[in-house]
Amino acid sequence: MIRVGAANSLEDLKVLARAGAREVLLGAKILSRYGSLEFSTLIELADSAKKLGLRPILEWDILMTQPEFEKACVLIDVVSSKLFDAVRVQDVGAFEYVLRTRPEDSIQLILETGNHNFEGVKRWCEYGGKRLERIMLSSQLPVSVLQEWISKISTPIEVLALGPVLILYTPRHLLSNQLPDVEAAGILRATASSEESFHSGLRVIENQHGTLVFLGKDYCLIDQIEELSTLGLGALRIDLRLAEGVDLLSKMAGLFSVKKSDEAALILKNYPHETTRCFFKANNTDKAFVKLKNENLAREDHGFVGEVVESAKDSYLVIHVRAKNQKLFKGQKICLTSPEGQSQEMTIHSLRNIDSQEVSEVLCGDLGVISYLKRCPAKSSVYQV
Amino acid sequence: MIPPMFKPELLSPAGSFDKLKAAVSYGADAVYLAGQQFGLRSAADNFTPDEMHEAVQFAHERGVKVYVTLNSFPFDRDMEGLSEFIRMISSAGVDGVIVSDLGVINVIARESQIPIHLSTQASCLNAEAGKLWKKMGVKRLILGREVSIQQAGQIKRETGLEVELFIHGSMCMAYSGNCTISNYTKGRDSNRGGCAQSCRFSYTLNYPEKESLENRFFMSSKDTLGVDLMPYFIKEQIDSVKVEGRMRSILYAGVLSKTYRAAIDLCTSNPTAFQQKLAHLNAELNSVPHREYMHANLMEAADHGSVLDTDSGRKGAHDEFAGVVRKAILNQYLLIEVRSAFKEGETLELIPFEGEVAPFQVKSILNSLGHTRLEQAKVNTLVRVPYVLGAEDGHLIRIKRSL
Repeated sequence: MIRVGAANSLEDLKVLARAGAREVLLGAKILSRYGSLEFSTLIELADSAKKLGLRPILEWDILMTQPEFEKACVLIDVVSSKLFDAVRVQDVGAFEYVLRTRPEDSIQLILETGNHNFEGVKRWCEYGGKRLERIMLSSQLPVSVLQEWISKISTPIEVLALGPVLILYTPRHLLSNQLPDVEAAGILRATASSEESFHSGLRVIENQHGTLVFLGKDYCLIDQIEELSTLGLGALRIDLRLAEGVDLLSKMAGLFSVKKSDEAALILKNYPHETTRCFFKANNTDKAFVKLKNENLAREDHGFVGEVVESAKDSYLVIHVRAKNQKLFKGQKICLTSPEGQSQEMTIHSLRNIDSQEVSEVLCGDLGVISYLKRCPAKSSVYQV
Repeated sequence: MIPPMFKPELLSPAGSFDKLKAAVSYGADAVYLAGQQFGLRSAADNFTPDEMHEAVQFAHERGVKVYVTLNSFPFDRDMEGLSEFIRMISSAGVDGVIVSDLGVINVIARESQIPIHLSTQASCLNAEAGKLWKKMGVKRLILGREVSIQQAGQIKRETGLEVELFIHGSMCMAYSGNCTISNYTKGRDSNRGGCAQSCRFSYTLNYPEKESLENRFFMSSKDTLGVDLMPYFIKEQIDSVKVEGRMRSILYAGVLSKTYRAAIDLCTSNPTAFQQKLAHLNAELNSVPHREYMHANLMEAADHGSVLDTDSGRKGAHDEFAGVVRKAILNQYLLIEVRSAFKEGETLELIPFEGEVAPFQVKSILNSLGHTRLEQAKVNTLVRVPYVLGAEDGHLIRIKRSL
């Protein structure tokens, strides 16, 4: 399991090389969402990285509309395949382009957005074939899933071990938009907090690609290094490029070689942000869904007849027969379930149409009037018993 | 040379059977809906298997296609039951499935012949990406909302695939599928149907070395409005124009379908009349609840000016949904299922499936059985009002509130 860093300068490269990193992400600001390098500097640093024994990786991870894509391809086309050991992409257009036009390039595919099932991830690996040297998986996948997949996929897997958690990526410039005197040109930073529950301290960065919003806490698994070492991961990524004002890379350099969790924890004491493991142990982000709607209003097919569309107090109920091949009829035993979840059974003794004529049955699409029943308001569901 | 009669498909939302009926009756060429799993609208009514079959039959009998959204990003455990679900919707005869995840695409391709439409959630933004998805079995690209009409035309030409663009409605601030705020802050997976709309909240922004900016809706996007751009959709031969809003009301499904139906038909048959009618079409689209409108990215990249300012952005007064005509008995009465209260003497508008809206004064209100006179029609009741010329079962009625 190698450790991957990211560099913005020759000094960063030297720190990473000394620290024991094996691979370095190099991002030109025109191709990379976090990168800040001029294109010419990118080329120089790739050369320097090789001389320092690091594998330089060309980061091309922006998402691109057609004009942006065409501009990027012009740049990519001038980069010699010998200069970088691999190209890292997220946009599947970039993936396809590298596969199709740069046969000598190895590819690292970012699958961190979605791609939460084995069926899909396996298909990406098959499609990339031998050219796909690694996939980057989502921080929303718990360790149990990683463990299972690693045993089934031959393509090496990388996860983020320390760095900011990207939670929104937009091409719009949301910070300069709020500042009338500022053009959307350079890099802007801010924190955003809402009184709405846990939306506090979100870190926001605007650059030429738009706006990136990060969780207030950074993601950190490196203090679980002993557990990570047993998983069979291909790589761990430590990305400190977005840190401000401090030489964080030097302070955290020990993390590129640390083997003990307690040693990692010691180094992390100097980390400037709170950290979280998020979903590493478990992901239950689907558990709240049952609360999002009134399950009592959800139709079940079995026995469903229709719904109460009017409850005239102490007088009658009007039922709209909605289910195909169902009907209301005299002598029928029905169950009415209110939106509050209360179910009551009754037998239909009197059945009229909306013109008050006695009828023996009411078919799908029509309205039937039956005796009043308390606590069966409009929207109550009607089932055949 | 563009075929003179090229018409984009009008694709309307159908969050429930009643909304589907409204969309179909008011002119949609196709509707999209979801089953009770695998979609992105956990809070919507969604369709049971029986309803799915009934919905497809109802739509097909009227020449309308049905697409099923399966556009969540499922985890392994969520894939359980997917094969059965695919077989069920295949047997129902749906015309397409809207998918964002490659694993789901694989299962669909294995289990059925249903045409696969790539969801906007997959953020397909360029032709090269489209070519890759084509190899994966995709027949239609629902392009990322950052793609312009002109770019969509180019992607269509380069990939040979059908393309679909959103023409109307709310939009994500993020590249679709690239937002997980809810996941981390609310514990609800936005890409499995739990979006908490965090981008719509008000935030305090703290910039270094600047004063804090309070109460900023800095992530809240304005809504898309593309009716006036219809000539461009036609010029670029965009195969399908989509209206967002499965969670919106029946009135929304009806009015939007009717308005965009008119726009497409007029623009293809009589462009001059289309231009003359545009103010009216815009007024109709302003009559439903919406945030401030913009062209989004349809002509050029949305940026400054595309974000709401200091309020939650509900724009102006909008019409209220008085109800649905359950029965129209010629020259006698209309039986209305009431959704918003109205009073005797009030002026309502009957919205026919085709043609001009018909204002009418409610001269009297009787209860559902016609026995008792009422001063007011209350929500969740059935009432009778005197017959209105031209009224049919299923017509929608609104209370005019917008200007």
